[in-house]
Amino acid sequence: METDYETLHKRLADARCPYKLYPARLRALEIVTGERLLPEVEETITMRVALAAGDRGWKLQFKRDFETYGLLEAILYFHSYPSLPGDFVEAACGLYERLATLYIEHHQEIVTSDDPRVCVQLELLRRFGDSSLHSLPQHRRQRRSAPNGIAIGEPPHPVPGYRRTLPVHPDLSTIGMADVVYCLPDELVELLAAGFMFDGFPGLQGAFFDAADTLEEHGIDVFGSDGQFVIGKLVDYVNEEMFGDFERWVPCIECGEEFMVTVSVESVNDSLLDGGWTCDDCKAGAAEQR
Amino acid sequence: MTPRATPPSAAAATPAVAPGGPDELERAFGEPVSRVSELNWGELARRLGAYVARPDRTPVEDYGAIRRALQERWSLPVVETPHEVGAMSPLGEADPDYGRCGVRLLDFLRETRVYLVIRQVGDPGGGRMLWALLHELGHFVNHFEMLLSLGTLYQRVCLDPSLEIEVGRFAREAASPLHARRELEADLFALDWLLPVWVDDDEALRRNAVLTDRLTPDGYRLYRLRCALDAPFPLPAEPEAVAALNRAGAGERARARGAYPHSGTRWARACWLLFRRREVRGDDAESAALRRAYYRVAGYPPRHIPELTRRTSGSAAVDPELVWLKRVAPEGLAAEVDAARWAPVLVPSSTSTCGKYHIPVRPVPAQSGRDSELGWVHMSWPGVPKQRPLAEWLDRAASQAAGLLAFPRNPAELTLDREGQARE
Repeated sequence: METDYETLHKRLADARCPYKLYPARLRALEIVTGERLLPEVEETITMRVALAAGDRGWKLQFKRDFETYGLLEAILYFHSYPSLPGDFVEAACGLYERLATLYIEHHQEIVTSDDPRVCVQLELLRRFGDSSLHSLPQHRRQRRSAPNGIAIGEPPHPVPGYRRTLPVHPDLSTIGMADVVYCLPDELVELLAAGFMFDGFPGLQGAFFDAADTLEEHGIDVFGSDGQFVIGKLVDYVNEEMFGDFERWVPCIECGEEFMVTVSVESVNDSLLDGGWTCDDCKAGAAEQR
Repeated sequence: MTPRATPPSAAAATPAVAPGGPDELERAFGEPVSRVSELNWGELARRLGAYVARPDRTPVEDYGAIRRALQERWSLPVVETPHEVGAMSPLGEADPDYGRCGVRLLDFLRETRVYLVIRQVGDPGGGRMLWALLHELGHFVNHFEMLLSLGTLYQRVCLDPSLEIEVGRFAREAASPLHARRELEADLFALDWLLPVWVDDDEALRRNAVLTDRLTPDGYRLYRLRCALDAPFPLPAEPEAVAALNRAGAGERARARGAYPHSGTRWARACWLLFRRREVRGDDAESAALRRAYYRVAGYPPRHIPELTRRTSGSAAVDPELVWLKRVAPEGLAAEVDAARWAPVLVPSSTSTCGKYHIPVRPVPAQSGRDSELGWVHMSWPGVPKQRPLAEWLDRAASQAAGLLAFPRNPAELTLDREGQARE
């Protein structure tokens, strides 16, 4: 197998796993599956990479990349190593593929688990800055529909004597930035923004889907006035770079090609209705087919 | 108990030593800090320790003023409670009659908050509460790391329930001597605060011209201790009263040759230390060995959680002699969390094994309402946890064959919540 960047990237991206497989995430996966996965990484890659690359320093390099960036990136960096035997690279990619598939299969189980052994691994990830997902093509999310049309997001009316119904994000409280809230949409804006700020921004591909899930969990129609108000606020925050300064390139959900997006309430609504961000060509193709 | 010379009425002459005022408290606690946390605890403890060792200070004996200074300068809550104060672990880190230096376990991997609990007695200005406050402050200065490690210990028990047995084994062997040593160290801090160490030095007493022809150094020491523990009164001038004081001083010195009366009265403990503190200061070999043994079980540094990177040992058999978490049946949990409890309570997954893990939950802060009626959240949850009723947590734990470890608010935390003091 070739070890140039393009070949490796294509091979690893095929797994379509948006989550970075850090050791902590794999430990959580070990707990829910009962499989010994980290030793497998150790045996297949870590213990062999020094021999494969001809220098013990590469073992350390791989370990560091794995801990800092996750397994996909650590393997992707093989393109910068001295020439590696094809069977070794193939085995590493094969292992990644297997782990990525296994992780996707168990992702929901992991993020909703009450098992403190799983929770602490996710909390560790959060603390060490599990800041984004891979900028790789992702599976299409569930398409949303707006049977009643899309309302204009008006600022909601304050509820007299409103009392908080949601917990304040602990980090927001720690730095004394929890604001006065006047209604549930206010609280949700604060909750989502604090989550994106302190727990990591999941990237444009996932962020607004997560926000939509949260709104629906609290009985708010994403395309109603309150929902659009919350989406509008989050769009403003993204454009003000409150969740970090990042390139607005997103892989198209249809063709996988990266394209530049303009983050606006309209483009976010389109992505929610389409189940992901779609490039102009694919949109035009879909319209033609219709 | 040695008979005491009756203090003259309070209306008599002023006491021989004027207590310190606000300036002294400023010297003791320094510039205000927004909170006491793991980050600044070491510095604050060192500063306070250095202040207490200074020979040129005048002890502050006003309970209310010290309490206010702790709250205003260190934002360290001091909660008074009429309840008998309980420990949080099998290590007995509380004194039922005085109080405890407590930590609020909210979310395991987050910052630990410290607070002092003082058992309320009739007159808050009396020497008993002053002693209790200084004693608990002594725990804060000397044992903060052990308090931190308690939080870690609970987290580790949730990740690996069989650790409860290991801790129980350690507690059976060492809890009592460890508790005694910690009590002695906290008492020593309280005594050092009230009676500067130069009082131990006969020469210094003569140099400072506090001794009269008839008053012995031990008589004077006892006089100072009584002023500090009970109420200040003028140094007696009558020969009979001075002779009684001298006799009492000599008697207490003789009594102090015995072992430290760690379950004795406040007076007995303070007296013993007054005459023995030179010998017991610093870490002795036994104390160091006890601490080492404790940290071998609990892990060191106090935030170390080996279970984060290693596999847990699996479910061990329950040994009824060694378990120490209070166990209740699911139907009894609501009543248990609403009672005045100082330690968490476990609804076990099984009576014969420790189980694979325990789900740690706590109620959300609320100014009113009983714990059983509030929403409860997971204490290891990443980010913002979801609130669920206690009954739902019971169902979830049962469906996973996991234990449910509930951390109800203790009476002090209830007070803090009612006062609206931020918990998160």
